[in-house]
Amino acid sequence: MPALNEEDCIGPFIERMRAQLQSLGAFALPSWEIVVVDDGSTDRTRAIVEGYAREDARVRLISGPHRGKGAALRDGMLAAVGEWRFMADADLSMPPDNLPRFLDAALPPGRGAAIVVGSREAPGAQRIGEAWSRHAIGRVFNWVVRLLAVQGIHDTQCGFKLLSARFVDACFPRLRSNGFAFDVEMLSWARDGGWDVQEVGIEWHARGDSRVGLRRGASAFFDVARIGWRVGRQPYGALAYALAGIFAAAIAYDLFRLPVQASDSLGEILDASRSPSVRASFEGALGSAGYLRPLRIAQIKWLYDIADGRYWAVYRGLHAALAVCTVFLFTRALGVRSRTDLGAAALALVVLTGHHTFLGTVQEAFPINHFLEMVLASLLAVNLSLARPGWWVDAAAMLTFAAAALTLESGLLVWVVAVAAWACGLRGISVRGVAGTTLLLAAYFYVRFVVYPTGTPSIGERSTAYVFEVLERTEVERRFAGNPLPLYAYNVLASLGSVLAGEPQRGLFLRPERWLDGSALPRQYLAVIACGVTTALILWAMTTRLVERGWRTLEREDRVALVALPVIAANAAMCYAYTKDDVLSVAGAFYALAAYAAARHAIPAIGASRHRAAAAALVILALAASTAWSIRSAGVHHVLRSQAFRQRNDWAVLPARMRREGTWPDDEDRRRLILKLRADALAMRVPNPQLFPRWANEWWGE
Amino acid sequence: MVGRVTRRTVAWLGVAGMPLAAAGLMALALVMALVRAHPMWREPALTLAEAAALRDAGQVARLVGEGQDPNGRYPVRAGILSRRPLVLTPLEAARAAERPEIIELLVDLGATP
Repeated sequence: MPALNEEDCIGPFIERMRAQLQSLGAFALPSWEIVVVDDGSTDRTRAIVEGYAREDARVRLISGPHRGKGAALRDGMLAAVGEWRFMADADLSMPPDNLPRFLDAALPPGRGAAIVVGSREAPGAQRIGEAWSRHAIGRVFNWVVRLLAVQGIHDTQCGFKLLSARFVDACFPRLRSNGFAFDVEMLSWARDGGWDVQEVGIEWHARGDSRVGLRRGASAFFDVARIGWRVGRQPYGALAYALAGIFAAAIAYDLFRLPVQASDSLGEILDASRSPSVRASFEGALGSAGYLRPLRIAQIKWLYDIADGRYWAVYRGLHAALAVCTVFLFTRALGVRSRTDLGAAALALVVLTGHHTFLGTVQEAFPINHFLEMVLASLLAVNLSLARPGWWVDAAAMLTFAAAALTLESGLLVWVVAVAAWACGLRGISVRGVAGTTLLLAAYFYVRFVVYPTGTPSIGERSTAYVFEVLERTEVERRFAGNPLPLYAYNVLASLGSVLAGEPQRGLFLRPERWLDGSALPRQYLAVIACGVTTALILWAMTTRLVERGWRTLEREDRVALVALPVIAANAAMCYAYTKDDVLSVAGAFYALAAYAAARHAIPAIGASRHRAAAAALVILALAASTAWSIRSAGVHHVLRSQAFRQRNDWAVLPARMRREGTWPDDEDRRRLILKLRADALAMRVPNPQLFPRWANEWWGE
Repeated sequence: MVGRVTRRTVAWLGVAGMPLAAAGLMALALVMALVRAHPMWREPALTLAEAAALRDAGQVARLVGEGQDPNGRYPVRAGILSRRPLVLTPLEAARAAERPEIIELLVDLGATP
């Protein structure tokens, strides 16, 4: 407790604090001490404390010249010997009986560090007797602090905080502020180092003799700016975006080198050329058998109209833009604020781009990559759930759901994200927004099954993998038409396995003998290693966080990781009819979000581990997994190059093939369109995979 | 304290080191792309016969479209069809490489079977 001329309250403070500490009992508090740091008092403060210290060995006095509250706190904290160290103002603005609130929120010793901040803004807080002007100044100051130095803490200046000895020993020697910005500097370093920080609401009584005057307050503002610059809170977030920019730009570059796909796109583009308008395309798609995707068809028509002959530029341009936006929204959802976060974000980005569901997604072209749109919509939903609540957030969530649901069935996952986020305590989308989205979901099902009875995809609509073999449509019908449940159950479980374990991919297991005799390709081992280690890390992190912190005090990132679980499960359930990497695109992205939260927890946990051997083993595992993911992420570019070659070849042989099959159009406009698309494709410069090194196909695929 | 900080740094590097290295390589490739020297997106300079041997239907169609004779004879570098360099027509090269789809394409583009 720092003290400067506190003769009126130091005695009552020691008496009440001593009584409170004794009342907690030996079980809750085996031993304690009160350390008073006299900051050069000129009244009777020192004499009073010396009196208490003579009669009670648990009261200590440290004296020194006047240097400021921050310096006094630093000396006192470093001189204290307890495993937990509580800093308090002497004026008893917080009654000592609030102390148990801090102890309840503190972590068990040895499981990681924690800082518990007494807050006048957190739930359960009470401000008593405070003038509105002082309150307003405090809010402005906190806004500046959150803008420049420390995000996410709504009351940095309350003088009551519980700190672990680990944190004090690691951080306090580097603190330089001596004045009122001491708390800001301390919390900035806490964030930078990835230490857990929690706020607990306290009962706070305003005292009329506040030491915060105009001059000191102004000085504190400058100190905050200096701290923000020095501790560098902002650069970590900016660095994360820069890293994301590299990944996004690399993928966008590759996508721009791809011709428009002939096989899946030509028919759609030809239909768009025949449609009289976007509205006609939308309405025409309403009654399709098995699907309700009118916005998908309308988008293709809209882009066709605005392309005005520049089809490759517009369709591929949109594809590249979707990929860039997806990576950036993903990075935004991470919320990088510290060095630890940045390291975890680097891993999360290679998990996002290295997962085979992402590769399957970016390969899809159609001519618009609607599966990538669904990833984007789901990431937008999670970002909305992390935003400050407001009517516009709810409206945006509902609009996002409506657009996504009318584009692809995977768009229903936006509703799953909204509900799961709300249930996990992310309340950016309010209960009103969740209710509105749920109403839209009900309307979707009503339109799909009552107004336009589109039904569901029939069994045998397409071929599908089943355990070790690929079944053609007729075989699927023959085996499962009578009882499709085994096929549906397999597809759902296989989808879960694909996302979480890297096997099976696209529903097809690699035969066991190939794993045993070593004939499996390196990329197959990489998939299993990467996914296996990461999934184990995610499960470990979720379990330990829940046990350590309990549900109510989980951090933002942990809650996002919890949202990932139902999203992955729901996405897998949607694959009941058949499994395909791009259909699992949303699950893959949320898997990467969960990996971020896990890595964020693992880095300080490894650092705090008391067992060298265990820590070394964990570092080796982390290195193995991150290396596997990095290799897989690099493989995306290799696969897209191979795909470009294949797609250009498809266009080269297309007219002759269509003539032989009798499908070459009679209409001159359609012929001209096909030849234009073909000419665009043939003009593209693409590498030849026959000239790629063999190891590239073994490690990266294709 | 020092040991714990160092161990945390090692843990950080274990998690983030390789992804950052991968990002660095990607950034380098992108910079090279700005000077039109992207290491992974270069189309090799192939003759019509070489393109036929290497199943490059797109290259075959483009070269013929640019005016190259589908019945002419073109050099084929060593390592593509044999250890020795050869001079072949595109049809001969496609037959030697067992590329029926390229043979079909060449015939469609005017090659004499």
